[in-house]
Amino acid sequence: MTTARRWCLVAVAATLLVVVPLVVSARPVADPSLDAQQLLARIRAADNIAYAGYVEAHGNLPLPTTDEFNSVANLFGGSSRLRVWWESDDAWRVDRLSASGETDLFHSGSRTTTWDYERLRATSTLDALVFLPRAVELLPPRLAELVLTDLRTDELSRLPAIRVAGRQAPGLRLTPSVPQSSIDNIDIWADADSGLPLRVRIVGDGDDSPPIDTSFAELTLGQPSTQALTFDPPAGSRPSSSGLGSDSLLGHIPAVARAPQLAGLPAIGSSPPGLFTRYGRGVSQFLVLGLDDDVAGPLRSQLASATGVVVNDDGSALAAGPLHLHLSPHRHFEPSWLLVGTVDGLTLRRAARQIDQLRGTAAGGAGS
Amino acid sequence: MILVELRKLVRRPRTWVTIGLLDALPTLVAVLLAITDLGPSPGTGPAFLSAVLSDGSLFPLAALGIVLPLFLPVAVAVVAGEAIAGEAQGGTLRYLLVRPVGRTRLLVAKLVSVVGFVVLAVLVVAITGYVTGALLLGDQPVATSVTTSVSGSGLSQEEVWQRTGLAMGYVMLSMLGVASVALFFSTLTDTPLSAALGAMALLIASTLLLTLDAADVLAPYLPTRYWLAFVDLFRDPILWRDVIRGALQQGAYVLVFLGAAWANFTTKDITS
Amino acid sequence: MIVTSALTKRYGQVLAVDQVDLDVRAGDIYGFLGANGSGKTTTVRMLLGLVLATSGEVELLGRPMPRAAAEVLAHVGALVEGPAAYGHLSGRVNLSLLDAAGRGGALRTRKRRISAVLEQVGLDSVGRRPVRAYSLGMRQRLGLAAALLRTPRLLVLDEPTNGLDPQGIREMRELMIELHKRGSTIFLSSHLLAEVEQLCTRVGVLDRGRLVLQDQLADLRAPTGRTVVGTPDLAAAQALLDGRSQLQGDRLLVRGADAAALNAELVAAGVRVAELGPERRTLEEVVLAATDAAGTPGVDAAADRQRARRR
Repeated sequence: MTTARRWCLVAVAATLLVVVPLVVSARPVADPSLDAQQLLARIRAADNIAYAGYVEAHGNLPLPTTDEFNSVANLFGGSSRLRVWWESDDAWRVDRLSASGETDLFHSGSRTTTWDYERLRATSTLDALVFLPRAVELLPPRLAELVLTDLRTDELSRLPAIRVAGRQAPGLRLTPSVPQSSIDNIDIWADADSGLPLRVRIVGDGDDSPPIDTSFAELTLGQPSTQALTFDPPAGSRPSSSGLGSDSLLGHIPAVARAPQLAGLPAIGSSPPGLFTRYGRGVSQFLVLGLDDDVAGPLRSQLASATGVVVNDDGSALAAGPLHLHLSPHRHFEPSWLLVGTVDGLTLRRAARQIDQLRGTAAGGAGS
Repeated sequence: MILVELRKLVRRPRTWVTIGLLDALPTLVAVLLAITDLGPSPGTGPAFLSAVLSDGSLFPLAALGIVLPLFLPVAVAVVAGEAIAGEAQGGTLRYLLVRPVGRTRLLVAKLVSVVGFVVLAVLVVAITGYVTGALLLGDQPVATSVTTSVSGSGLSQEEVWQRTGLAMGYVMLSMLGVASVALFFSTLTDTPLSAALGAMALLIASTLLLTLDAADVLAPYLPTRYWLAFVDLFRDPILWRDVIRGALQQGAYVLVFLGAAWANFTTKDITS
Repeated sequence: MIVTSALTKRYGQVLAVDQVDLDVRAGDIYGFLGANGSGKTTTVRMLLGLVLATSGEVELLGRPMPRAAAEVLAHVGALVEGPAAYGHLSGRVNLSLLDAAGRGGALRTRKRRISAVLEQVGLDSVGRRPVRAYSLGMRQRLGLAAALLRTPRLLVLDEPTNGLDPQGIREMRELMIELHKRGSTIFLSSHLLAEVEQLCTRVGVLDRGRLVLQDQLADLRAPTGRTVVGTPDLAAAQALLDGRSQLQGDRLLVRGADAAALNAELVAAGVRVAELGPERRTLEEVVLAATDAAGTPGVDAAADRQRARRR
C-alpha cells in the first residue's frame, strides 16, 4: 500500500467518525399532521406524565449580580446541565450539575430540600407563595406550562418537527400580540407521542442568540425510581431549614397600591394582594415590587456600576435580553419601585411615572 | 515486542522520576490540607478536595482530580512523545527495525507501553492518595463512616471501592487521546521534545477552546472535553452520559491518530 | 546474497543513489567503497529496508526487500552508521532486549548466545556495566555483538572500524575473517581503501551515487603485463631496453610479463638487478581511475559503467 493510499484511509476513517454522528442526528423527521390547536391540546394533556432525563439549558440573560439574585443571574446567564426525575408535581428531583459537584432540589409534598455538595449543606424550605426562579423552572415541561397560559389562539402557529433527545418533536410557535411585549416569539417542541414539551426557546425582539434555550438531551418516559427521589441528609452535612431567598426579600416589601392598569396594560387579578402586582397578559407582563432602602440601596448601587444600565431622573433601567428592569430613584420615607418584566423599557418607565402620580408624589422631589 | 517495551518502561529511571514528581503534588496538597484544615471555597479548586477534609477515603479521587488537568497529560505527552522519536534520537530505532520488528507492531507496542505508564502512574497516585488520605485526612473513624456521594446519598465502603476503580479506569482511558496524538507527532520528528510539545500545545488549545462559548460546536471533538466526567461516577445514580461519550471519543482519537502514525511511519525513511 | 537492479533514491531534486546494480555472492567479503557523501549509507539503508527506494529492486537472500523484511532480516546482522544502545542498561540487558524484540531469538538459548557473542567481541568482562560508561570502541563491539547474536548468514557492516584504535581495528579485522571462515557473507561498507584491500574478495565502488566499478579484487589487481625493474645501473638498463621501458620514479617499467627472461637479459648485459617483479595496480589506483573516468564523461567512463553493469 502506498503512503498516499494509507493517508486516504486514515482521512476517510476520521471523516466517517465526524460525519456519521452528525448525519445520524440530522436525519429527517416525519412531521405528524397536527395543527397548532391540536398540538397545544396534546401538550396540555401531558401535564401528569412521569419522566426522567437530562436537560441542557442555555441562558443568555446578562442579569446584574447582587447577593439576593446571584443564583438567578447564574441560572439565566449561562449554561446549565440538569438531571431530572419527575413523578408528579408533588414528587420530583432536579440536579444542577457542575464540574466538581452539584446542587440538587428534592421536592416532596410542599417541602423542597436543597442539597449543595460543595458546601455539604442541606436546606429544607416550605414552598412559599412567591419564590425566585430555581433550576426546576428551566425544565422544558415546566417552562412550557408557564408560557402557555393566558394566550389567544391567533398567537399560535406550527413549526416543522425536529429531533429532540432522539424523539420526533413537532413545534409550536407563540408570537405574543401584546404590542408592548419585548418577546418576539417562544418556540416549543413537544414529543409527538406523549405531548411532553422537549425543548423551549425564547426569542427576544431583535436578538440573535435566544436568551433562553432549554432542551432534553436524554429522556425516559415512565415512573422514575423511588430511590432517586428520596433524600436523607447525610451525616456530617449542615442541615438548616431555611436559606436566603424570596422569604427574606418579601419581608421588605411594603404594600403596593393597585391600579386597574399601568402603561396601557391591565392588572392581572391572580397575584396575591399586598406583595406585588402584575400587569399585562400571558408572556408579556411585568411585576411591580415596592422595596425598602435595605434592599433597594444595594441594588441601586449595583446597577449604577453595572454595564448597560441607563441612569436618569426617572431611575435606573436595564435590559437583559427581552427582560427589562426599572428601579425608581431614591426618595426619603418612600419605598422604591422595582418594575421588571418582558415588556419594553419605555412601558416600564411610563408605568413607574404612573405609580408616582398614583402615590401623589411629585416627580423630581427629593433626588438621590 | 509488547513485553520488551514494558520491560524497557519499568527499567527506565525516568519513568519512576516522572511518576514520583506526579505523585508529589497531591501528597503536598494532602499535607497542607491536614495542617491548615482549609478546603477550597465551593465551586473552585479540584473536585472532591473540600470533601476530603471530613472523609479521607475520597482522597485517591481528589489526588486524581489534582493531577488530571495538567500533570498527568503532560507526563503522558512526554512519555508518548519519546516513544518513536526517542529511539530515533538514540539511534536504536534502526536496530529495532532491522532486528526485524514490524513497524506497525512497534507502534502498537509503544502505545501499549504508554498505556502501561498511565496505569502505573494512576495506580501509584491512587495508592499514595489512599495512604495519605487514611493517615492525614478525615476526622471520622474509617470503619464506621459512610461516604457521601455527590448527590448526597450514602455510599457503602464497597461502592466507594467500585466507583473509585471505575474512576481510575476512566482517567486511564482519558489519557489515550493524548497518548496517540503524541505518538503520532513522535513519528513525525526525531526530537522527542518537539513531539511532546506538539501534544501539549493541542491540550492547551483544547482547554482554552472549551472555555469559549463560540467554540461550542467543536466541544465534542476536543480531547479534554469529557475528562472531568469521572466526577459523574460519584453522582447517584451514576451519570453515564459523558463517561460513555468520553470513552468513545478517546477510542476515536486512538483510531485516527494511531492510524495517522501508521500511515506516516510504515513507509517513512529512517535516516536517524 | 544481495542483488539490486537499477536501485535509485531521490531526495527531492537530489539524486542520492543512481541506478545501482549490486551483486554480492554467497561467501564474499564485499567491500563497498565510496567517499563520505557518495550515497553508501543510503544504499545500505535501502538494503535493510530502512529507507525506501524511489525506484529499482533489492533482493536479499533471494527474497525481495522490503516486502520480505520480516523473514529475511532475521538472518541478517547489521551495523549501520555507528552503534546505538540504551545508555542506562548494561550491554547484556541491551542484547537481551533486542533479541526478545523480534522473531528468531529463542528464549531458551538467549543467555548462552549472549555470553558467546560478548566473549567473541571481547566484552565478556564488562557485560554488567551500563553502556553509558562504555568507550566508543566498546560500543562498537557491542553493536557488532548485537549483529552476531543469531549467527547471521549475511553481515552488513557500515563503517565498522570508525572510532576504533589501531588495536581495535586489527581485532575487528580478525573477527571478520573468522566470521567469514564460519560461513557468513560479509558486506563491508567503508571509505578506507586499505581496510577493503586487506579484507575483501570483491569490491564495488560508489561515486556520487553511481556504482562505477564492481569486480573481484584479484581481477582488479591482476598483473598489468609489465614488469617493474629496480636497479642501481639505471642508465645502462635504459639503454639496453630502449623503446621497451619507461622511467617511473627511480624504477623502470618494462613491457612484457616474463620477468625471468628479462632478468636473464639484464644480467647477461651486466646490469645489476635490485628488484624485479610483475607490475600490479594498487586498489587506490584502480578506484581513482574509475572515479576520475566517471567524473569526466568519456569513452572510458562509459566502458567502465558498462562493465560494472554487465556483472
